[in-house]
Amino acid sequence: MYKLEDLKVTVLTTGASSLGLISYLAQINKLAGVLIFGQLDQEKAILAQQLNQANIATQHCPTNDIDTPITALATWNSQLGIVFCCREKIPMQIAHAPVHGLINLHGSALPNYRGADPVYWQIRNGETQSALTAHRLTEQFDQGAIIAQETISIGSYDTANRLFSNLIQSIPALLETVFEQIKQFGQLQESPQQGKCLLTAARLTEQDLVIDWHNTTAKQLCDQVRAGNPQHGGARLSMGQSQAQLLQATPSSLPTYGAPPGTIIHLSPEQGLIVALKEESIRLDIIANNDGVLDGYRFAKACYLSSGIKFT
Amino acid sequence: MKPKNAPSSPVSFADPKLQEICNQHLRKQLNSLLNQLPKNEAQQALQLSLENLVTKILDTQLPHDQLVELFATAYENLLTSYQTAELTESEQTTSYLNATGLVMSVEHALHTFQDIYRVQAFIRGIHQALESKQGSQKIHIVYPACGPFAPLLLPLIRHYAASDTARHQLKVTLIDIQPGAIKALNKLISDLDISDYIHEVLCCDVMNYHPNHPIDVLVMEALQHGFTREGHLAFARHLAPYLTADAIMLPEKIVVTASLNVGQREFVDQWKDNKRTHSSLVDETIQSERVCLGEVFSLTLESLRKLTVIPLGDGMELIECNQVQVPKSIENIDKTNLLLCVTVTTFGQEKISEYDSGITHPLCDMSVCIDFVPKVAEPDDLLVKSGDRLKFYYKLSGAPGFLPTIA
Repeated sequence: MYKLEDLKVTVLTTGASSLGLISYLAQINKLAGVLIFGQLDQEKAILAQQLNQANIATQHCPTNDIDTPITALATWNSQLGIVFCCREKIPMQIAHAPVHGLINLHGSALPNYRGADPVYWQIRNGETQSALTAHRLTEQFDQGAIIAQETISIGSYDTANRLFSNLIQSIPALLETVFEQIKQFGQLQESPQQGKCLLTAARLTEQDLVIDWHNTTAKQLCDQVRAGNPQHGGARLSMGQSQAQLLQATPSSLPTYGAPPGTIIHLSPEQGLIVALKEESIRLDIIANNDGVLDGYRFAKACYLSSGIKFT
Repeated sequence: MKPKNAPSSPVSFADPKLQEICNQHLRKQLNSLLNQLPKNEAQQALQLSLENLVTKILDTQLPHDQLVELFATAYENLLTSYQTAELTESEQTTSYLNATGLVMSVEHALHTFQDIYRVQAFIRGIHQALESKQGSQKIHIVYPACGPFAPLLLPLIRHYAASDTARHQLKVTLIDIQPGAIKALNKLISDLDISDYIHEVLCCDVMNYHPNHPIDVLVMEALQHGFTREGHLAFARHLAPYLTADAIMLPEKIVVTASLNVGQREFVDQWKDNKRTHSSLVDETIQSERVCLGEVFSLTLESLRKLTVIPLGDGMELIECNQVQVPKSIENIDKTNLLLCVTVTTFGQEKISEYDSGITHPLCDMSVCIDFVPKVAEPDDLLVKSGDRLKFYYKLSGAPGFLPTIA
């Protein structure tokens, strides 16, 4: 039997977003190594290079290759695997290789927001609370028993990156609970997920970024925009064939006077660019296009937009 | 990202020469010219150019090129006056929608003067209207939403001032909601030396204007193509009670008709060999391909007093308009679009025909889908079948315009 001080953890990931977890484990001297899954693209190659430079053991595991990760886990004498920011399905045969198995860190209070993009969808849906959940890895995504959970507040101006940073910051507290269970009980304490998954977090498509002027409220549009900021370029602003990225928006109190949703109802240097929704209006604060990142007024001037013109 | 009406639009009512005047290069040239020209000389040049323009257009129907030359000279001088008014960026560029429609930015409103056939028809019409009121002691002319140049009237007033005509007979009230327009107007009135003719210059919403003196002549042009976007009808309804019994409203008549044609034929093929649009340049073959559905709406002083208004709540109202029928057995009717075509009679025989002006450019209503279902549905889509009757209403709201429905 090993002592807790000797517990070594392997991180299973597909991208550089997991660096926060990796560096924390290295810092507390519990990192066995990093398994990078999937086809080796530029992001993964850079991650591998960074880890090598930091003298962290790294192994690339091509898709469907089971032997390589099992061998690495054994070689590194790893007792626990943590799956984090991983867009590949981990073969379940690997789950039994370390003595404490594999756990997944998921950025929501499971069972809600199961899926690939929980951070985006929680902000988009205007949630005010999230959680970092450690759960047992199972065949079905994000459905394993919960081991530990750290609750996190979502601020009304938080972007996707802000929430992700806050999730990363809660890693030490979450892992402390996980390690404490191993110390006290010699194994992880699991409880099944309670309740139904009412809200999901499907992988984002381009269509999810399109603004539906007719059916969105000002609050919903603001949330959609900050959910996509910065990773997905906020939300898509379209006029004819042209597109721009709406990166920040704020509800406005200006009446629409029955203007069709999507119509510019005010443009001035002082109040900026304000657009009608179905029943409310919204100020488009920050917009990016080929010209750069501009405030709404300057964007409108650069694109010859004026009041009465309609976004599609 | 550019809207359909961005400056790069390939063919418009404005002659390319007039459009160029507004570009940055010429403004810079103008600036340097301005610095060299003594103030009174610039003023004199402005006055003379407007007098010359009005004298010529009242005298005869000028060939297009001559008209453009006269307008170009006058426009440059007007821009000089505008520049010296030193508007702030906000005063120049602020635009918004209010309860009656679009409040255009001052910098956009400058372009009205490029619409030479509109300006010509109004100046000639107003002149004839005033001549018809020769016997009156005082004539109160009200020009709401007049913009920074009040271009349909002030050139004529300068023309009168030059010959000291009707100096104490005419009382002009100019109204605009844009502070920048008022600033530019006051400068222009001073530069034109016509303050004797001006009763008031008011910065207010037309809907809040309650004149102390009855209105004898109402000059109004607050509409865009298809009789949309601006508050023309709302303003006319608001001011109607203040008109004298024999008042003249200019335009005397605005007629909106509905037609069907293939958009590509009407708006692209028809103008592919032209640098501008005008009723004299339309392609007769393409015009003959149109299917005329009939008159949708007509606005005169008489009809204004008989409008059937349906209140919708929240300050919105609908005006009942006419009904037309979509014919059956028209080949390829599913390829056609509904066109709303405006013609304007300013006064007497003075008309603005289709394509002469920005306000008479036919408007294509893409929401009406005849005998087809659009691949990408829009919330406003109206699915219509051949043989259906279309009943039109006019929306009085921040986005005024026609609402077609199936009768």
